[in-house]
Amino acid sequence: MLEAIYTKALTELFKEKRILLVILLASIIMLYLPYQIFTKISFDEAIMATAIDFYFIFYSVMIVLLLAYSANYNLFLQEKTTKTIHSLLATPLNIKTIWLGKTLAICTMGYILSFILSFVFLFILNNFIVTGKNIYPSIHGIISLLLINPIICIFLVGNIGILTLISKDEMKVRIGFFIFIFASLYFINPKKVSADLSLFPYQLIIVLILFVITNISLKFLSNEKVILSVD
Amino acid sequence: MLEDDGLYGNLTLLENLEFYAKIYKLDFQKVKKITDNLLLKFDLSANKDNKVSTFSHGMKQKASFVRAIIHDPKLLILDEPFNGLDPDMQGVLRDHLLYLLKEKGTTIFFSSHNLYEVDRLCDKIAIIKDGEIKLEEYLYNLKSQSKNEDYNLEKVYFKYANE
Repeated sequence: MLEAIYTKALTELFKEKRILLVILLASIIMLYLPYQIFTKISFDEAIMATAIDFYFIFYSVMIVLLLAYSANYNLFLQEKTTKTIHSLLATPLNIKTIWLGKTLAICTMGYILSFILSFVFLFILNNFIVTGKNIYPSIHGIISLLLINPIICIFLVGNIGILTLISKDEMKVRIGFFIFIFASLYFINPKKVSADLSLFPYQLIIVLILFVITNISLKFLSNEKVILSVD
Repeated sequence: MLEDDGLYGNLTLLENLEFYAKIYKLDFQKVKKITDNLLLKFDLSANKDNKVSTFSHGMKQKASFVRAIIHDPKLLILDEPFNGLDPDMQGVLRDHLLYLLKEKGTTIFFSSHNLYEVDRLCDKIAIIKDGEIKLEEYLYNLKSQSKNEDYNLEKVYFKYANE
């Protein structure tokens, strides 16, 4: 049943060309910053690699959050405004499966998009901008991108989804969303942490905190609460 | 089946049915045959690849009914199923409900303001006014109680609803 929700959410995201276009444009604009750094400022290779690590760790989360913000209406809020949530909850599905399926769909789509753009950017960077230097993310950066960041994204997007599903007020969702953006900006780009092994304990603490927050939020997510939040 | 159709406007009718078939863990190819017959019966075949948002109220009502019975439920709860349907389609829906009752043994519980359909379909009725059940009785009892007078469900309704 999770697969049904996940597939449908992905189909809906693919059909929403406007959302994809906005995200694509925003993603390209966000890549303009490292482009400026690498073209206007002369760094040594080690600093450039660290900058690339940080930028892509931060970039993937931002793309997913941006997509979560744009798709929030279509995937979560619209279930309530069109009252399709009533029919869904009359099936063997429960609200937590619906929530998880949609959250995973947003994260998958956002992550794939950020990966494609990151690789395109790296290809352009290494072949046309700083030729001969081979600037790629470090192994620690890649592990972060592949293992830790997806978990962080699922927790962040998941909490936005929970807030949308149980809240009667869309404004609360928007405020909640911005709190998550600023929190993620602060946590993912800390000042004194370098992109090596010391990053992992720090990220694991973030994952643990988000795990606890999500678990607490999930206690508020019930079929009854969602039905009562529908006007 | 709810008064709001519960269908996704941005998906086609077939995509909606496929989605609900997946939720009930049905093999859509197997139920496709049954669905095709139902769509034909309810005059929706030509629109199965159109987005539900382009449907009229009556078409959405019919599509919603097909969606509700896709998994062959033993209990069917319908909220105002005859709303928005033209007389032809009301007849088709009534016949199908009778088929489900008699051939499949489905228990059907429905709310309606249409006393004619209630009289044709129900074994047992409840009259609800202001959230309170004013009468709960088998129709054959009501008919036998009023054997000296002409039986009329409308009269029964007014008698109990205005008590």
